[in-house]
Amino acid sequence: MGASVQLRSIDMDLKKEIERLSGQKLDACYLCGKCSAGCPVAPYQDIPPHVVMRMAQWGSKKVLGSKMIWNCASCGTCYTRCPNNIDVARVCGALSQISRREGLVADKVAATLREKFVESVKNNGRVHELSLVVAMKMASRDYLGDLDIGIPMFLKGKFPLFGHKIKDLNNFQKLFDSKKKGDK
Amino acid sequence: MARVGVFICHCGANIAGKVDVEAVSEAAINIPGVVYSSHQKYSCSEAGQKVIIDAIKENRLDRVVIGSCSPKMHENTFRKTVQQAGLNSYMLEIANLREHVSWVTADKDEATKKAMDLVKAAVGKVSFAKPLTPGQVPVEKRALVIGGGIAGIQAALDIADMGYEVVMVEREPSIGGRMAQLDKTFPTLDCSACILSPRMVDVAQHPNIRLLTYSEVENVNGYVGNFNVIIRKKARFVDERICTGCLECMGKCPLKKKIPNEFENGRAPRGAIYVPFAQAVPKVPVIDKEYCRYLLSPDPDKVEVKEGEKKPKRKCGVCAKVCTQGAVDFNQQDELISEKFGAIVLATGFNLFDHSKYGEYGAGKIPDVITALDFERIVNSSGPTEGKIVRPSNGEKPKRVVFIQCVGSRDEAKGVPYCSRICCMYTAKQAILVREKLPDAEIYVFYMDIRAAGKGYEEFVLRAQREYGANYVRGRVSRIYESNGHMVLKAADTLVGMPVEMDDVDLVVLATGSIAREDSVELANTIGITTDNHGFISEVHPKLRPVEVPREGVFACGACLSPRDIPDAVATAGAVAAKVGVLFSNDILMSDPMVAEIDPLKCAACGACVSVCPYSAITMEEFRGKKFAKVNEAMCQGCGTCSAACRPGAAQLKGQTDEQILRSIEAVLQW
Amino acid sequence: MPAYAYFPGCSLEASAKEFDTSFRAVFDKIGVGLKEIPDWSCCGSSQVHKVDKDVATAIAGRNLVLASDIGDIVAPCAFCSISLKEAIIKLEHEGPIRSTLIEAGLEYLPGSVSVISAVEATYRAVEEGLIDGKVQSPLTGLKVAAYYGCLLVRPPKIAQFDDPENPSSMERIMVAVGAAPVDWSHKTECCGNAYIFVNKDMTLNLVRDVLNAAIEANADAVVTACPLCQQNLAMRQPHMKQNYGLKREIPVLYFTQLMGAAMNIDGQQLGLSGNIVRLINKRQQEAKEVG
Repeated sequence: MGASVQLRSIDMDLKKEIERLSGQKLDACYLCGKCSAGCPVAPYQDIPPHVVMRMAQWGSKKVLGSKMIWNCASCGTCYTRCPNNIDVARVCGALSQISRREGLVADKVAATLREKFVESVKNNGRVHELSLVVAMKMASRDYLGDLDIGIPMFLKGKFPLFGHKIKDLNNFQKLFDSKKKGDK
Repeated sequence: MARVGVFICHCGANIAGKVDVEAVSEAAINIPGVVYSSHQKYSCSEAGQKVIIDAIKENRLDRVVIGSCSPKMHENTFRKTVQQAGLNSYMLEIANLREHVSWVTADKDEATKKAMDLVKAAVGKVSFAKPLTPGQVPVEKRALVIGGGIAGIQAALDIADMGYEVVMVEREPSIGGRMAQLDKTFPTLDCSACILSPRMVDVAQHPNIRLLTYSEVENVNGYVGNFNVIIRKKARFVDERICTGCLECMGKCPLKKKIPNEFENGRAPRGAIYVPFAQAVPKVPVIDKEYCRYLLSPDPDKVEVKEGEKKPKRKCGVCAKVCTQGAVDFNQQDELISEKFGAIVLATGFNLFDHSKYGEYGAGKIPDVITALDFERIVNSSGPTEGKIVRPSNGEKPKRVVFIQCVGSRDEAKGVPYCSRICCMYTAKQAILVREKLPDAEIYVFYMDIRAAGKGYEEFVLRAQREYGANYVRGRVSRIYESNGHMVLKAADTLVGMPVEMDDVDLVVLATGSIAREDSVELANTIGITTDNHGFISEVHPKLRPVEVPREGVFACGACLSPRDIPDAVATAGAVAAKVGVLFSNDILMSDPMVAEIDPLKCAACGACVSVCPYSAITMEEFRGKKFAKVNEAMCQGCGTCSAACRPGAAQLKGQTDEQILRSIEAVLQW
Repeated sequence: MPAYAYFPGCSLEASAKEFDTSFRAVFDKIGVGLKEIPDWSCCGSSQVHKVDKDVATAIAGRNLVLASDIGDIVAPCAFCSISLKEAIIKLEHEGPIRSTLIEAGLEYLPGSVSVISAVEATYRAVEEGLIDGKVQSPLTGLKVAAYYGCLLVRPPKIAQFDDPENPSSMERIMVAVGAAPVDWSHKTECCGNAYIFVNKDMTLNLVRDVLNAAIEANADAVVTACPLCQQNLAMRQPHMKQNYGLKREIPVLYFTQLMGAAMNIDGQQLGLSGNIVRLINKRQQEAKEVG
């Protein structure tokens, strides 16, 4: 499409939204790049974490379409070493939330993983690993990959067919809903 | 009845922008005792002062309230103004409408109301002011310089050249400080020792300078012009008056090359008897009592010996045996020297950040990760490797050398938030030195920003890049680790937005930041001054009074104030000398009359004030059988502690009496 | 007998069953009780956190409340322990989330409970001498690479345990059971987390680097304390050897499995394969011959 990616002015609304959702102060970052330097997944992404931070400082919508924000493994390396105490994983998390809302998800598989995970938690109170694995296999269209691993695990009883539902599911689900009430 | 005049200053828009100065001025006229009130754009200007003088004369005012900036700024100005109008200069009260009101209050109405309250309080207080007269004290025209680095050396030489006596106290066995440890200096690349050592010798030979090395300041008492200082001269175990500096003793010490030499940053050894470096001044060794075998062995005279047993003998003592002069004296004791000074100069320098806090850079445990100070010693021809740049792990020449800037600096998480100011420049210098000694080496400098704002500095950094082939990479390094005998470095080039993984790094030099001396707060407490929250000495005003500290007669220069390079250290040292010269141009000083006084008739002689006075300025006296406390006005610093402790209310701080304070509170509550 | 409130977490119920059984068996042996938190639910995990941080804190908070009657929580999975630890810090200041909990019938009292990981709990037990005399078959000669991965010691402000860059607690535990920990470079590098499902190539690259570092350090086995680490590192080794330059295959075990072996707990209960048992025996034999 060749859309213009010129920066014009800071989008304060988006910037504030990122700060609210992440709980991080974006302007605390002086872009030293130590996060990108230590990030284990950065070499496999479209943009490194410090560019995510810079785009977030601009409130640039372009960052919402990046893969990096979905592939952050939350390993905490950046936060541990950041000279300014910024938890970049939280910023990626906030951006991925907004990206999903705006329909700009660059890594559909990662988004599915998160969605299915949270769905499983919400419906059962715990994660049912087998249904999560199956869902991921469907999403990544890797139907037969890793069967050599999955079948023995299944046979060892490591993948129980049915998940455990917690007893007090009703009250548990309130923890998801009452939050939404508070939002409005 | 008092006749008070109120003058409200706009301070341009500084006050008037937030405070309705007209309303404050109008309200003031209704305060009991106020007979005149007006407002001006700039009260401190010549025109503003004239308004005040004229108003005092025309309205026969006997006391004045000025609503303006902090008294720290212009109290002295306005004291002179009222004096010119014929009033005692202490018949003045300042209401701080700027720092306490307009600069810190968001709401205009609130600001105006607060300003009115402060003016009321000031009127209440000044109504009970009494004329005060300053006392006179003589000036002891001798200066104490603490610290023998380049800043202290420069200050001492300049003061001594003005004809005043100087005592220099240095904690280490030799003067020279940090500069003596450096190899070359930026941006001229002249040899540090070559330009420093002549000055060190000048200090030693100057007829007006007395040098006390291996000594520390223990206690400071008194006040400007009359400080009493106690200096501890640590036992050196070598008589400075006899020793010829032949250093024969050093070669014979059995611990020779066994103890890490602090001067070499621990990268070369020394003995128990040693001079830290060849050009040391004085060239008189010290014996380190923590290591010396003789001094550590039990004293035969103090050991209880059972019958039939032989008295034990002291170990070693070789140095004493080889000394042809008999200068070694194992019986020497620490000596306490008491001296009087008119001025004190602090030049205690700085320390370097300890990178053991950086686990990601190996926490100091990877042998080929060294600090910039290590590098200075290694590259120096009199250093541990005689100037050859080699890897500490195997002694081989490094092929790939990486410099990392901002280690500890600009790191709120693990270090200090500020920029250490010198690292960009010394790193560029060190990169150039690598190229000069290792023409084939690859050189990388990982940086965040290059701060090269000095004369010839930017050009110097560009030369390092363009002529000496230092590759500057913008990005902070995340991790250095050893793997299979290789050193691996993980970083990012933020300008291309790509991670960098560098294998086979041979030598990493960390630009560790400058921090305050770990005991700077303790020293500040000894002298009665303050430090900032990083431990650097606080100046009176960072721009206008950059070398004065908030205790009169005490000055500071060099890196104990904040990180700085040699030119700035030398410049501030010169500035300090000029300030000391100004002080010493007076034979007599006026003392602040706002000191405590004790009414002997009210005094119950309980002694509470004597025990709380931090300046030992109060003593118990007796007159015709009645005991009472008395203040030595010259020693009193006007802190008011005695006044707070005195139950009968006999101790009062002049200019801040209980009555004045109560009246100002009353004024706010009543009117 | 001292007792912890035990939070197994979802993985220990399924794919990481042997972490659960071996941890329980070891703690039973050393006489430290583990009382499972009744009706515990998901810890909040990084995935939930990324969808809504406050919901994550609330659902973690539920477990804290349920545990508060029992005692301090031990949560073996690194994700679980860090999520619960973070919730404790968050709930201290987040009144609204505490109100949300109250609406669900759960009153959280700040300071009522603390959380540690299985490594921390074991490390404490070792320091307190609780395993003394329990190691009947020390793992002499077995060289292990202790792998912490990410969240066991990171971020330090939340984990509040061990050195985030060069931790040593698991090494201390391994020494206590007679094994020989190796010094290596990738103790705290990331294993790729759940991204094995998202970006397999990336994850295998990360895993290969970790395993090769352990192999270069001459380790016989890698010990972990996290279900995701164990699975990412243990699985697909033949595939990685063929396509990703993995130098050789290397066993990857939960540290509690090796502890159990040293305490002569039945291999079946520990989920140890015959291969591992043979390897342990072989090293012990070698050590005897040398010794």
